[in-house]
Amino acid sequence: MTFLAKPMRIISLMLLTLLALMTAAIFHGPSDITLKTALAILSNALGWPTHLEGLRPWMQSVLIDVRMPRVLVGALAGACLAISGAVMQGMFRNPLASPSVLGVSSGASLGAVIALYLGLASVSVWALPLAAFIGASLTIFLVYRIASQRGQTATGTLLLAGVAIGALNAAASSLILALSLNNWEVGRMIVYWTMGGLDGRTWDHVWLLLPFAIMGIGMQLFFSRNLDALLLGEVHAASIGIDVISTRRWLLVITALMVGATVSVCGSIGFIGLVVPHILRLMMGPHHRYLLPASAIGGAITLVGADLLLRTATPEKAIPLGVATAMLGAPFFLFLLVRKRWSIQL
Amino acid sequence: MTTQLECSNLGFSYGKQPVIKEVNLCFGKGEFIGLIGPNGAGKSTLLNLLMGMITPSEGHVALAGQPLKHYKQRDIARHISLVPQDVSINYAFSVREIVAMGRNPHLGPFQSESNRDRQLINLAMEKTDLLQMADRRVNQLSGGERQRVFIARAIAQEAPILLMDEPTASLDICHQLEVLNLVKTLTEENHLAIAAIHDLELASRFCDQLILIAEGKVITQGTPAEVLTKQNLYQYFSIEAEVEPYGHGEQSVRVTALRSCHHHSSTNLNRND
Repeated sequence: MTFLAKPMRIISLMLLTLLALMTAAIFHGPSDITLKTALAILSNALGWPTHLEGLRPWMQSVLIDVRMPRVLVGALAGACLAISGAVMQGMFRNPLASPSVLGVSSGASLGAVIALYLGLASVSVWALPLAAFIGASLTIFLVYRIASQRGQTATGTLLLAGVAIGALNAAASSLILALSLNNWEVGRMIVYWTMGGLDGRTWDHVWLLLPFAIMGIGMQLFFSRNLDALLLGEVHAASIGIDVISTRRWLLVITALMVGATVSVCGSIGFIGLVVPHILRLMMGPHHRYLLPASAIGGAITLVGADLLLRTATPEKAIPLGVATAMLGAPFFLFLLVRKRWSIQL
Repeated sequence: MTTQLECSNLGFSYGKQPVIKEVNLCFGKGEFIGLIGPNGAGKSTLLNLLMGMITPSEGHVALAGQPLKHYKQRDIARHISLVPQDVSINYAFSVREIVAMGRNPHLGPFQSESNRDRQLINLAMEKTDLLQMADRRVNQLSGGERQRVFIARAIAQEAPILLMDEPTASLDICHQLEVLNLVKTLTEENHLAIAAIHDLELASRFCDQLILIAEGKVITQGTPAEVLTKQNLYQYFSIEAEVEPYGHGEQSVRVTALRSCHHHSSTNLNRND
């Protein structure tokens, strides 16, 4: 039974780490708010009025309206990206599958860039996520159709199609960016947005992402047994009564929704969907009932942690978050690859 | 003989290329059926059609009298279980976990195994002699052991029909015998087993009936002695062979290939694939 207990231990530890990190990220920032003040503000917000000398209204808004949504959006986005990566790697039996490699992220980006370019983003809060979702869904649908024939999916073709369509998406985004350079404001917004980040996120963003995150994660967990079976191949999965095609369809729709919502809220943040599930698979094995929740928590830890690190190390915000996750994630991933070659113990 | 599984006028094509043509077959209980035929004859495709993995372009497969398309995959899996050709696994599942997957068609998504499920899983591992390695990881087992794990999974599934695609292809002779003996035992317990087998010698020794398939068609079916004639071997396997009775006057025959003769470009004998 220790066999089963270990993943649960890891998950509990990760959950504690996440809570600690989120607390630290809410309490820490460039504005000079002491721990005592912060606690007073929190207890005020929770409905226990506390009076404290030197408590200013701006402190409250910094804590409640700036830092909290930032941390929550970071946690939700990280969770969605990482769990979607884990699901994709499982359903396509390929360690390379992830929202970014399959072009889903860039599809979502393209949708959002178009919305920004056309000025739709200022019409409604929902325009950006909707556009991002359409971009993500179209991309994944196209990639899947290209690679599938009669219910069989060729993984190699799938990845290549993802890379190719991803390149098309990126090129189209760049084209639109080039077209909008004479409109300085729009161009700046697009550039900033494509780099990905959590600056200036509000409670609106939290409410936008939250339903997708909760529903998506819940539904993905629902499929964890099917994903275990798919790891052993489509024939095996069908043989034990799993409808492979409908499982894939559902999971694709769910991941497209989640990635679309995530990208629309904080731009494209790379490598979390690829790296986090791999690290966890190394730690706790291939079982999706553990791997999926652990990936969600791990993704949240990574994004909140990276954001906290950036805010602490470079207070002038010189490095965008998406750049930082890729710069940290890629070398770490390479390290794992090289190490794995010598001691392959999945 | 009660019919369990039936194909009527079954056809399947990839694009315009027909792979299975006008197949009419009827299977009862407690038989060990061997599908034989040269490479590319359509044996795997036929097995996939029988499992409902692919949809026929003509005719249909009937399970207990009902066309397969009226069943959900989950319900098919309660009757039919397929042991895939490729059982190589790179993932660290334990033997018990793989065998337990056989209970999937009987469980809801969040439902965990009951005592009865656990008993069936243990029983399946006992039958396949896997109990002592129940907690070992399948990616550390030999090919023969992995094949047994998948047969155990099929047993735990409680499906009375067992389909197997080349169950002995990657095994050494000792493990080949072990696996086929196991399947034979299952058919004696009233399972229906249908296996695509390359090795004619083994097919003749273990199977009650052989079905010879070539270019998507059923050429002939019957006892090994009826199917494995010199003429058939020459025409469909491109070999000149000696065929002699095997065992104690049973219907098995021993096939000794003398030389290959390439009279068809597409039907060379190639046992090594």
